[in-house]
Amino acid sequence: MIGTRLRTLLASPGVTLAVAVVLGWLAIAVIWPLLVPYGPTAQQLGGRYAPPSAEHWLGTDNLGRDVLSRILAGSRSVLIVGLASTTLGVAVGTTLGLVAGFYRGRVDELLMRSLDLLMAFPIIVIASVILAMLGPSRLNLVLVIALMLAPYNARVVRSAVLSWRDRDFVAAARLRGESGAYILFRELLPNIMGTVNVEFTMRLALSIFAVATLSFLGFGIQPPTPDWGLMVSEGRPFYQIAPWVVVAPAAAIASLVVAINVVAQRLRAS
Amino acid sequence: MARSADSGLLRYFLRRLAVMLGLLVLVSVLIFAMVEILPGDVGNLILGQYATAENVDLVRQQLGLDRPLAVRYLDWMGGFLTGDWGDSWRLGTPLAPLIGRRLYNSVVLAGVAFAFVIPVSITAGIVSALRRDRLTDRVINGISVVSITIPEFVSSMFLILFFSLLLPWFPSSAMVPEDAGPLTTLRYLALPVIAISPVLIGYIARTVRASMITELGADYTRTAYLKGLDPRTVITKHVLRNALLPAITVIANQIAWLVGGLVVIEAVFNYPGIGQLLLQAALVQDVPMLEAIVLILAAILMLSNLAADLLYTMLNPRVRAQATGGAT
Repeated sequence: MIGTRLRTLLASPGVTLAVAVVLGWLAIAVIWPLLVPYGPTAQQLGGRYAPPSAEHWLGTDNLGRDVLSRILAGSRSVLIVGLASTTLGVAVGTTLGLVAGFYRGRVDELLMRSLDLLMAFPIIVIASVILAMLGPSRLNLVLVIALMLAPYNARVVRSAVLSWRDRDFVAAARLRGESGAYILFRELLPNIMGTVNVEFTMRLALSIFAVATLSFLGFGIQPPTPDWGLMVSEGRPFYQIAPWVVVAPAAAIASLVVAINVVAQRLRAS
Repeated sequence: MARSADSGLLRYFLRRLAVMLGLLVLVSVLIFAMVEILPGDVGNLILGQYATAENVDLVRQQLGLDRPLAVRYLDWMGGFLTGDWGDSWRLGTPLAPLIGRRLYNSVVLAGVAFAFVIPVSITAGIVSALRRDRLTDRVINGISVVSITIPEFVSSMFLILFFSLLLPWFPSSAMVPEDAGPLTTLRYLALPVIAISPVLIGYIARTVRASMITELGADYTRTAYLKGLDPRTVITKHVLRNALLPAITVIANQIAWLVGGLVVIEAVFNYPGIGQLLLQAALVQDVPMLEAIVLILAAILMLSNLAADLLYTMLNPRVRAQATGGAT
């Protein structure tokens, strides 16, 4: 199954490129300490606002820090927070979706209506209010984004469960006297794993979107940690004299979210 | 018969309105509880970390924070309904006029955005449905997939770099001067509107495309063609009428996205709207202002969804019959 998946993914050059970009950023996030020419927080006050050159491929920022090193190092925080929040959000959402879709009735009604309420709000608005009160930290960021992703995921999983819950094998498991948890996770979940995987990829793109935006707004990763969203907001006041400080992280974010989304669209279509 | 259908529709509308008001009360409790329960002591927030315990207590008393939670909630809600929204902790000024002014600015920006987005996205959806799977369709689809995913602050920065720094066509800040005429105002709002549009255009265009394709394959469309009607008439008089209905719901759903996008766009372009005010309130933890803004936004979102549902019900005979219990 993985084999056919991979083959559909690599069928078109655009999707192959997208897969390469995602894997490339993942690899960089792991091994960046071996790649960076300079320390990502090392300041050289003599060399501020240096344009791209042979020594500094992407130039330096207002504190003389090497932009390329910060970009490479910044891939880690965005991917860690993105992957952690997506994993948590999809785990919670899938569980809620399984429960709602399998038990139906009042449980379903109550769960779905509360999730509707949560989804009626713009993600960024709730996230900034909660983070403003909790204080920005990596853990809070993960929790808030997971909370925002779970309802969307729950809704999709629920409708996938609906087409499986009345099958004979579920009835058989019930008659055998299996517990509800067993039926949910051992009988139903394996059948909807395809949906869950596609969901994970789509939510990952959304989650990275949210991490970058919240960091840009000042509610996410805090300085001096190298982070793409933060780099755009730090570079913004002097974009006129040093546009590269803004262009590089903006392009990095765009490349990652677009690539993940292309992969997700492809997975969904197959 | 028409009369009974109308009264059925009215009853449906009133029922929905009642549900909405109930939900809004629930949301207000949630907002209040969320902001009040989350950590951070108010006295210290206002006076700073090194304030003495007596001074902190004094501030809490002045703000009435020593009263029970339920009393404070009722007081807050009562004030809200009578137009007294309380004072900002940071600015010390009444909230209602400030929020009203900022809300007005945001509505102007959102209005211009919608005036741009709706015709563009509907045209794009129609064109890509009619040229299905051909190059135009693929290009439109590609653009919408890509543009949906890029965070607004990223596309805004690129817009500023291209159309403000490289080509000095538009101002990089949307702070419209006081005495600006409509044309100057539009020039200031151009970049924010272009930055916020792609996501909205992408979603609406894809919905229109999908429903156009369904309607183009429907039996009545074939009948109309076989009757020998001019293809243009078939499209405009038959297909479009049905295909545009789902767009209403999507457009209403996009209002939530639009509000979220406005928060970011207003921050990037220094636009004095309600989104920027929300961010400022959140960054300095101005609790009364946060509560008021979030409640107002919730009310606006719910009202716009209700309005869209109502419009959809009125325009669609099938749903109308269902909603009014088959009164037609």
